[in-house]
Amino acid sequence: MEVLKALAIGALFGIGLYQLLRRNIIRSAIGLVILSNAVNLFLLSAGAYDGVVEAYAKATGQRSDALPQALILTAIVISLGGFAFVLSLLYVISARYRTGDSDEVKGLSG
Amino acid sequence: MNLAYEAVLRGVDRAARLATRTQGGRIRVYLSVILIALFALVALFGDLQRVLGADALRLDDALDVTGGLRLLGLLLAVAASFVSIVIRRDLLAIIALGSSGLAIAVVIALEPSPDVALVQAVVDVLTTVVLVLALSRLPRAQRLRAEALNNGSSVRHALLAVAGSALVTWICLYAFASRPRPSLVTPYYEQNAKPLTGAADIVGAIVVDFRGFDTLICEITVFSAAGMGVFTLIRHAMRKREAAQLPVEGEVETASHLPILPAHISGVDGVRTSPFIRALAYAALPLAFVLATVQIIYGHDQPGDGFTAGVTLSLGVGFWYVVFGYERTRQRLGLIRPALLIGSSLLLVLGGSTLPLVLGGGFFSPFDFGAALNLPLPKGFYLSTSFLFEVAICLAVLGATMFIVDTLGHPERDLE
Amino acid sequence: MTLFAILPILIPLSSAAVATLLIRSPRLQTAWAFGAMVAAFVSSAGLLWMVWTSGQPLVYQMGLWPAPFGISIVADLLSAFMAAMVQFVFVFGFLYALGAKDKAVHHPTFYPLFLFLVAGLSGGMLAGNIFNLFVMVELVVLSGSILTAISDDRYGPEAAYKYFLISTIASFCLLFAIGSLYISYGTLNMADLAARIAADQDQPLLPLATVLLAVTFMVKSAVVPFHFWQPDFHTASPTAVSAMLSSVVVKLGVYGFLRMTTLLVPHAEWLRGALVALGIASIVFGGLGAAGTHNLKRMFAYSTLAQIGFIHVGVGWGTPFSLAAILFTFNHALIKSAMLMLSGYLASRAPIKTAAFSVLRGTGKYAPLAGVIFFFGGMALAGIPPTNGFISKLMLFQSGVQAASDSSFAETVAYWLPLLLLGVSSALTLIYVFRAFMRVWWEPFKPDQPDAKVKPHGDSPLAPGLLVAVCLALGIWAQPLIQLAQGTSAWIQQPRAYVQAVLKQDAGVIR
Repeated sequence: MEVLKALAIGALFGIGLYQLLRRNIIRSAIGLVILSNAVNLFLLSAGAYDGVVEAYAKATGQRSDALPQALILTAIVISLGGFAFVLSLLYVISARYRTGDSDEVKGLSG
Repeated sequence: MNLAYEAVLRGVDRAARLATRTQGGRIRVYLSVILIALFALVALFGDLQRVLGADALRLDDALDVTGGLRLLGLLLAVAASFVSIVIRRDLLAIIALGSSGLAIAVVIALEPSPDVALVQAVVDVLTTVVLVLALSRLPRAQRLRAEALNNGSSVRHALLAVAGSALVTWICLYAFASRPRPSLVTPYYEQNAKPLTGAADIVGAIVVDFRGFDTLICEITVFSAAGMGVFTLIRHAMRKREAAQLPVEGEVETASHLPILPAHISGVDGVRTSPFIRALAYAALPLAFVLATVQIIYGHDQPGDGFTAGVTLSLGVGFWYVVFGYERTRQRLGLIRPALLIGSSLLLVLGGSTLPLVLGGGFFSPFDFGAALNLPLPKGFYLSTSFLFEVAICLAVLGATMFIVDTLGHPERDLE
Repeated sequence: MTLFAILPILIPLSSAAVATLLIRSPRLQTAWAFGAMVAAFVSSAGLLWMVWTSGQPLVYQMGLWPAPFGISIVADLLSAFMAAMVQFVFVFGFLYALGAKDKAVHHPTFYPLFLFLVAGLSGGMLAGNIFNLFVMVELVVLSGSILTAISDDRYGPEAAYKYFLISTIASFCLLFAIGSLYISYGTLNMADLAARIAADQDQPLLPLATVLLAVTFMVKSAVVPFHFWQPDFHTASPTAVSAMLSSVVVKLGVYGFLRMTTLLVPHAEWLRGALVALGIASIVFGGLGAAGTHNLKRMFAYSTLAQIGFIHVGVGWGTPFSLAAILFTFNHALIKSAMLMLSGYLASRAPIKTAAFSVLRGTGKYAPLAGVIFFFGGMALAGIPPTNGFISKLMLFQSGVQAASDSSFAETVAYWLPLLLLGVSSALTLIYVFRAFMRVWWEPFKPDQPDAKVKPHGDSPLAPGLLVAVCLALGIWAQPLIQLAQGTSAWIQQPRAYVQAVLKQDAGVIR
């Protein structure tokens, strides 16, 4: 079962990586989102306990590890902010270069 | 002697030209090279066979209900992401992405981890909204040309993707199989959340109190910077002629042959709105406000925090944009001025964190002002530094999200 | 008193907040921002002074939560030194921005973002917790990207896009490294990690975490082959920003490597070898790229690649020789920011606003003062006495020779090859700097359009002039800086003091 879970997270990461490397810039942006989802799932797996109960002070039983959850929260917010900025960059680039193809964005070279 | 000097210079020039040719300009090439170098270093120095040879691994074949649901959620997420690769239309790929994110929120909720699941769900919705906004403002011909590129594929990129997923699978397998592990810091948080910070929600206590400085930099500063960046880039840095060729509101596919409707029944892009949806919008915003308030006040003991509150509020305002159109929403909700919100929220948090310093604690120490001043507050509501922090986060997130949604949605209009 | 440790971060951060509220009053905003930067520098210089005189690291626990549960801000001599260096150079950056005529600098959100950049950078240097480091790095990446994207240069968004995508890969690597370290050791505090890693080096995920952490810093400091974002990014930004990016922002990676090789994973020998090897590749590539490029600013950006290569070779040679690397870091920051500002000044006076050689050819004769500054700055870059560039290259050479004579035959290549390249690269630097000087100041001014004229006023050359004067001064009175670098090098060779200061208990088996 752990094998399947790990495979799923790995597959998600691979899909995101493949999307990131595509020519259509919107797909590339979608790849970024999938990648950050995969990384967040990995951080979740870094929790030290197999949680049965939520991380609340009143709960009894094995609580899930609260620290990685706090880290994921922060990471999600950062990726959202970054992603919004990337989209605005893509916006300006597609207006300026009149293309949605990332291979044509090569004004800076040499 | 002079000939040798000339020869050396010419050799240098030729080598130099070769060197600068490597900067070809294509980001996909750069990314591929970097990924190949990364995987090469991992293969050479990462000592990967040690990871799975370790004896403390424990592989569990039992499948209970929660475990089965987790697997189902993961499967859904992977399938939806896969769909977003193969599907041709960009809009549908974005929707697939949205479902993938929600499936992941379910997986997270089954961890069990309700706070993070809430944040993931809310962020996923916002991401979908922002992506669709960005897509809809691209010129149509360009969009169709870009979609035609979706057919190509590449063996090299597929290999890189496979290498990446193998690496991640490897690490995750070790992570799952070596549980339970000793954590040196979590027991401290678990034991001290209620007594030292007054919070029952341990994750919330970590985010706002124990590691509050991280949250200050991330949820307030980074997010506000992103909002400011989107605003400045599109509003100020885009040249007039570039902005002029983008589709103006009302020009998108359907609108040109529609009659101009009176203002009170037209929404975004001049589309006719029904009384039902207008009633819904009138109900949605106050509801969002109530939800946000609950999340801020009781975030200490329940899932939800200032961040989710801010995003909920901004989604409510976004709904108003769609139903009532941009201009009328701005008229009625004039209080929402993004820069003001961001600046004041940062100052609120910095001021609120400095006060405990004066009162005998440290910078960013938790302090319950309500208890100190003996204020008669309802049960569960603490007027403390964490409360001020949550309010500040909500304001900053609202401001930044408004910057983003306004600017991406209406780049040709001048805001502030 | 330990509160002093967080002032270098808090002053820029709170000033940025106030600056955001001053969006509608540009003059007030500019004055406020500059004043805040000076105040921040005073606080970081004060911190450096306190740490230097007290002989102990200054540690502040945010919220007074005890380490390793809370976030520690640690100012040992290396952190304090680097934070002070960063803020010193940024004062000049703000000074240049004051006199700059870019439209970007006059955007209402420029100064808040510039202040965020310096806050994040200082925070990264002073961080005592790796997740805090991650968050600060993200702040630096985001503010740097935004500042570049709003540049007057029409390629700003493209440069920012490429940088952001590559930095995102680096951030994912950092997150994986943090996760792996938490899985293996259960803590995020750097001092705690250092003590536990020293006690147990057999954790299966440790080598992988080391590689991922190393790749993060390699991307941040633009080591070949992770450097692709750098020439574009450091060229297309507004001048005030690119001067900072190429001189101090890129040093975050260097700081990371210094911490990795001395505090966190000093047993990872492969890392040192990799740093030397990749440093050599950067030296060669950077020098050749600088010689072959068509734009003055871009030339200096490539030159940074080469100089950072030297610093990495110094770090890779090992801790006793980190003195040379630290000295080089500081001097390079001064020189490179001066030269980039000067290029921006020339570009602002050219007929079309660009630093391309084809446009700048011959415009130098209307800017004789800039020529003088360029001349001395170029000498510093190439390492000719009496500049600080010469001092740092001399130190590097001396440490290399000493190391080579002490080492076995097999290791000698690792020492002699970079020394040889030091000489070759200095000659190459001389060639391309001299060629640039001739192109701008010696050749006649023959523009494509007959009526294209050199503008009478551009940005203000005050900031680069002052910086080059400091370079000359440090070349002549080198002793105080050398002493400071020596002290820093001695401190980082004793990680035990760092760990004990943070954890306030016995540091276990660490050196």
